[in-house]
Amino acid sequence: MCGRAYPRQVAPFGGAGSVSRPGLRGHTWCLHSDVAEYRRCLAEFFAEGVEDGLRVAYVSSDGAEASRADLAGLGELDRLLAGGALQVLSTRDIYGAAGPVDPERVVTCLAAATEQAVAHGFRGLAVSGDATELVRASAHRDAFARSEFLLDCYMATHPLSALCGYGLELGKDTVAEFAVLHAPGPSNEAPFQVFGCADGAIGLAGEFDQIGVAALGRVLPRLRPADGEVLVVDLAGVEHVDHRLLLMLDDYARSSGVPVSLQSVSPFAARLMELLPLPSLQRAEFEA
Amino acid sequence: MRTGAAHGCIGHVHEAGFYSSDAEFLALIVPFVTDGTAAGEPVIIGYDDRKCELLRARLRRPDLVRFIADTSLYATPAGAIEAYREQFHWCVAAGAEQIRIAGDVPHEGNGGRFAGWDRYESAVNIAWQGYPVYSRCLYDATTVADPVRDVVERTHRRLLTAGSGATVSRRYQEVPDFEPLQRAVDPLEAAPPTVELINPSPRKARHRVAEAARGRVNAATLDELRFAASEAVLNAHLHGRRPVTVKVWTGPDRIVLRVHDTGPGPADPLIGLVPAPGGLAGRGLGLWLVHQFTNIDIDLLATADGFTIRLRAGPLPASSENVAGTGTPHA
Repeated sequence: MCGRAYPRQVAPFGGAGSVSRPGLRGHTWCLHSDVAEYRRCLAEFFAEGVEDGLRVAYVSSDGAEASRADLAGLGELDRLLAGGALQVLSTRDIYGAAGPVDPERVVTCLAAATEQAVAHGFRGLAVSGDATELVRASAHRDAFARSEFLLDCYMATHPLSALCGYGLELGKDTVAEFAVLHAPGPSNEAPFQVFGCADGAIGLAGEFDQIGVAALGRVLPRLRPADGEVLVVDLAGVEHVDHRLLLMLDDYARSSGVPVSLQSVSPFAARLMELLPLPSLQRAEFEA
Repeated sequence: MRTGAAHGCIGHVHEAGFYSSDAEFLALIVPFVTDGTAAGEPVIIGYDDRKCELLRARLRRPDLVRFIADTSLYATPAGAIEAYREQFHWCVAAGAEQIRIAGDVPHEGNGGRFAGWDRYESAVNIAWQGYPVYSRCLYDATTVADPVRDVVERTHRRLLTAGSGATVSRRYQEVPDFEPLQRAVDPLEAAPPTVELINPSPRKARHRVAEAARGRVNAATLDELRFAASEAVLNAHLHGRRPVTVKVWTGPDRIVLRVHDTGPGPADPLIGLVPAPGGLAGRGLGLWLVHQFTNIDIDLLATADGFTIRLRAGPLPASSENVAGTGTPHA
């Protein structure tokens, strides 16, 4: 079940403040029932990355030699390793030894790896790792979700793409919460997506009815900005919005004390905002 | 202290009058306005330009009257109820002990369309009961259609005519007992539906409706229709009884949609015209929002076999087909 329904490509270099079309985002996932399934996703993702001129990097806790089994489907491992087209990164180096990850550190490490790939003549970096163990403990999920979001923001303007493995064993609720942080695809039928924009805004795409809003309400607190900063929510990719989304965002702003501002508001969403009392919601712009 | 016919009353005092000339109109409205301004009461007028000018010319102090120039005041019944309610709120907050209002409800006789305003005239007897409102609804007897006059008599406790004073309307119906006008079947429904769904999810319903409507109505209308269809289906699943059926009929530039369930329909006679009792916490808001949309037409129809929400987008059939007479809605 590889989450790859879109043409392979390097993450787009979107302009700051703009929302990339979700379909071109290089942040996909592989929802797998076992390691064999993830390995098939991995091989396909890396093969396409190599063909695109990217360095591919596998994040593993087992080291380069032990990772060969996971990478066997890619083929020509020795050649790729020798030429630098394939790299094995340490889970510990990027995600820490134990406990919740440090989201900013994750981005810093992968950004450095991306820059190094470019410096070595590659078009960018395609990275993959299985996140199942990193989110198995519920106490770790907030931080990991935030790292996914921050990576998204980085990917919006840098040549980094990612395939994240998640095991079905995590349970339906956890799977659903992380599904929305990845691009839609065959194994990702989440009705909406939440992603990071180049300007740091939270991008929403898809349909937000009573089911979607409830799920977003669980994800949103994980993405809150630093104290004092405004949480900007970009609605450019929203295909269906109803009052529940606006009321939830207004209520979140009020209850959390985080200022929330909406941008790329459609004429219909703007009309709903006129009809509803939303004292805690700001509007950054109006898009005709 | 409340004045005039509302003296000693609590809540909304709602009376209507019929006039047959400008002179009779002025005879009915000028004292209503001047008694109010003399008592220091806010007086809010929602007439068209011609009537406003007629009235202004007869007032010594027109500056004491709040003439609402916003032509969207009567765009929708739910919108008018809320717009006036906001005015009442601010007036009371400013210390008003009574607020007088008069305005023109749209009907075919004044170039408007009465369908939906029948429920409004009944609903305001309750919707504004929390405010000291004294309202006078004046209708041109020379142009008002019989079905409209019938509704006026059933929704106002006091009826006035120039020179004859006020009488109690013996046909007044309490709000829960009010019988809305029948809604005519839309001509498009004579043919088999283009789309027919059984127990669809709101998502499936709005996708199929949007697909059917695309290219026939503009983007703003499509957005409203999609939202309304989704809410109607959600409500049917949550509050109605299965099977929930969705039928869609299309014309070159029109679309008719019926969402039906076999339940009894909402018990609240004000449903959709005011936010649900839960307030603005989300529940019950969907229908209220739909009732404020200006690009689609909505009818709530209780029938022997259940409850239907009918939505229409695009140009509506000729007005005469939309005010079909009294009795339980049959469409």
